[in-house]
Amino acid sequence: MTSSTTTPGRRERLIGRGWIQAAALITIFGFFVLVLMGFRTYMDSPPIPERTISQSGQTVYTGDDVMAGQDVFLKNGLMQYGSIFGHGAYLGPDFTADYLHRSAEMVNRAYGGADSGAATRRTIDDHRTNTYDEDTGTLTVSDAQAAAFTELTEHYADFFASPEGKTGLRPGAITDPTEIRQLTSYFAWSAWVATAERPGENYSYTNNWPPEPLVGNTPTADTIVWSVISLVALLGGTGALFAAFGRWNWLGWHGRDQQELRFRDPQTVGLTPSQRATAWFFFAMTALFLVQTFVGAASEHYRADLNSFFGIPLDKWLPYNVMRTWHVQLALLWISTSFLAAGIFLVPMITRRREPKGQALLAYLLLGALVIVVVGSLVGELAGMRGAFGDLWSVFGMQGFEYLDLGKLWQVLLTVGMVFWVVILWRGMRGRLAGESHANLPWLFFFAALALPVVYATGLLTDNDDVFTVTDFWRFMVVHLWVEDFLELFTTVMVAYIFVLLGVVREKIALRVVFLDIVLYSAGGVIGTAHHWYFNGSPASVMALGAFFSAFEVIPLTFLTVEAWTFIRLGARQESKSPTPFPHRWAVLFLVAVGFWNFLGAGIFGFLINLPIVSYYEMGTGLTANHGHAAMMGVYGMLAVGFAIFALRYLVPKDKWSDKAASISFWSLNIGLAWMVFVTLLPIGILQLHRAVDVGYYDARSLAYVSSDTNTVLEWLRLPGDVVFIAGGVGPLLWLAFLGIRHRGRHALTKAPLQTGPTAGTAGALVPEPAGESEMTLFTEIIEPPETTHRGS
Amino acid sequence: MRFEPGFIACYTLVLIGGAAGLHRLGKVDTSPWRSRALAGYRRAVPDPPDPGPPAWPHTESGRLHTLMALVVAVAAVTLPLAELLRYHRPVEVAVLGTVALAAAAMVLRLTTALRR
Repeated sequence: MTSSTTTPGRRERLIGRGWIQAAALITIFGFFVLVLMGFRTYMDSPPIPERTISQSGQTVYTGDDVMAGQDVFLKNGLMQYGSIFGHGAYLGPDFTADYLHRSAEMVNRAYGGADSGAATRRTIDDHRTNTYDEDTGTLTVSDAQAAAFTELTEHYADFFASPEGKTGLRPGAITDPTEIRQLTSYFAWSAWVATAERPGENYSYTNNWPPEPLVGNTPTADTIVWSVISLVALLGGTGALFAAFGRWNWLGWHGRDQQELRFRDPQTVGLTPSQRATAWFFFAMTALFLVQTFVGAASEHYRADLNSFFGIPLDKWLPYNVMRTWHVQLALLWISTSFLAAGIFLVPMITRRREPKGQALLAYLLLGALVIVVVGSLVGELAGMRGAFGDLWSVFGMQGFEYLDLGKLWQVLLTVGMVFWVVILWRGMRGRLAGESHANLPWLFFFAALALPVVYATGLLTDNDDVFTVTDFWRFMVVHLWVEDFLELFTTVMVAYIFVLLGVVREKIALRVVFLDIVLYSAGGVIGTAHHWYFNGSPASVMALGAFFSAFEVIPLTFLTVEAWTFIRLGARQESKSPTPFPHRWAVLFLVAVGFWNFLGAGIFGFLINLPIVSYYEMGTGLTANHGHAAMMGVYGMLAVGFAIFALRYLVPKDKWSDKAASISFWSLNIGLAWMVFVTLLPIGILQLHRAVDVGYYDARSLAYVSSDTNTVLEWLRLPGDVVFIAGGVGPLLWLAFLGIRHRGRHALTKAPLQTGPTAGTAGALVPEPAGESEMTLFTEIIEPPETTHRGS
Repeated sequence: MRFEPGFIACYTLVLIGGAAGLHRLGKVDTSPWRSRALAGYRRAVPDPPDPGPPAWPHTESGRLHTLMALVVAVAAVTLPLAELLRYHRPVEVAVLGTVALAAAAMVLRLTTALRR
């Protein structure tokens, strides 16, 4: 299992060649399939007809109308209100399903009504027969469909221009008749895509989504068969992995380790200027977290009571789509802020050398840039939805793609900011990297960090001028690939490295965990991105690949949760040997919570909605929100807070630090999240899924159903949990972060000279260091035994 | 019995089961050495490492599971009680009341376990 090579001047490689080859091959395979799916998406995405005419020859709408309608949809933040092809928010209707159902009813009435078998058949024929002529770019629809379009234009004019509001949107949100017509054209086109059969196939461009019996939209054979295969893949894959693990003990951490550890009192760990600068990052992170919970509570209130916010007409100024946009964007921003800060905080510990001059200044510049992007993008989204930027709406205002709502300028600046952050890490690590094998932890840490701006940058290819299917492909490069895979990888490297720096896990073992993570996620996660594209106009082959490989995505979640626990257990065994107390109990407990929520929120709740046949009825309902909250807050949120608690332990002096505050925050965040999930999101989601199968998807997504009495009761029942989450969870955290900026690790400056380290054997004591010592104080002093027994590697 | 109270009663039973399961899970020894998955490795290496006394954070694991189970159990009491305010046909009162009582018993049990 062990093999190593030594390059002159570099530390030897600590991991076997087989691990590197396996990781490289599987990564290449994963990305090859992803590129292939991208190619198929470009080739097979549904066409946008140049003109759509009625049988009597009148123009119904044009291709330009459809594209302009997409712009109206995006810049008004309607993807953060309702959804299109099932993608978007969950308060408003799914506009594809909404248009389709209403139009089908009108066509059916025109042909004689629901009692007439002939009318039913004609309605289905009108919708399913693909009358698009590729040569002329003309789509011909029946006169009944053209009449329905006119009628529905009036319906949407009433809906969007309503002066009373009470829909969650701003009263009189869209009043321009041209824009209403364009918007209706966009909905009409999406409904056509959802029902017209693909050339040569017996299902529509969206694999017959949404379910709509009026037009004969039922699950396809692929939807059912690939659901079954996906289940088999999950069961078989999990069994195979655990069997192999039991047989070979790849990771080799079940052996005995005889090192002696002495954890340094955080008080004695001198911090570098850039580490001290991270105090401001963690304060900004907590402040953003607090704002995110407030706007989350406001958007939740819209689901409980559409009429007013305790008597205040909130929808006039801060309608639901603004609140949800901010809620979603801030989730990414505060978590990213913590990750950026944790990276900066760790670098001096990794290098154990003096940091280059100006690192702190660069860190402050990064924070300043981050604040500008956060404030600029949030204000831009609010103003953009009110039409503030004219033709430049997608640059400065609301770009409008869910999770990529921020204007293009802010998106570019955020990418540049992340590149700037990588430069900061590079400056700090350059000396250390020069002496390391490329397969060792320092390089992996750098590569994982470098991947973050690179993958995020692919989201810049989303374009409001592209057909939705194509632009959705790029959107999920951020929503899935960046968030679910590359953030996960960076997280694994960070946690592994923190454990190595604390001395509780050996570097070899940590390396194996990281490589295992790369192997498992490249197989399941990268190709599994396609589980978002089952019904957005991508071909059936994409659905097949997505269903099959995303099942494998759950396996590493299960496996790594088990492994993470072992990892922590191992750390605990080591920790118990230390004569000095372990300072990071609460940071490690947040990691335990990550394991819990990773399994429940990402694994169970994620797989619950992953099968194509479930997704067919479920997409865009409460069960997606259930998975989203339990996984995003449960995994990344808890991690971000854990990183903050870890760093703050060094930034806040011992006599000011409050374990009580950390404890209250930990329990309140977990209790609040569990309450939110089990009292509201899960039951509401199950009821909505039942409604979608029983009555119809259109009905389950209607505003009338969402604001029904049953839902209202369940939404209100969430209130106590939210209060615990915000007051008990975020409040104490904000206090600790405030203490962080107030003291910023200055206490260590006076007791142990900065950027120097004590000699071995003096851990835990406040011993002044000889100035000019090149090595920094580490978190832990590790004393190697004369002879180490280490089995299993 | 109407659909909604029926659903909530069933969901409550699932929550009670979930709470019991979580509490039980917290008591399980998660030592990797005792894992069934490692049977092959155990055979190959007959000299097991000394597991030692339960160490932190393992000692915290049971508490975390029990507390989460308690949250789930309190949710299981709340939901049928809220439904009782909306649905009070005799059969609905009987069913919702029974599951609420069962959930309350679970809350009591978990509270006692947490105090120990």
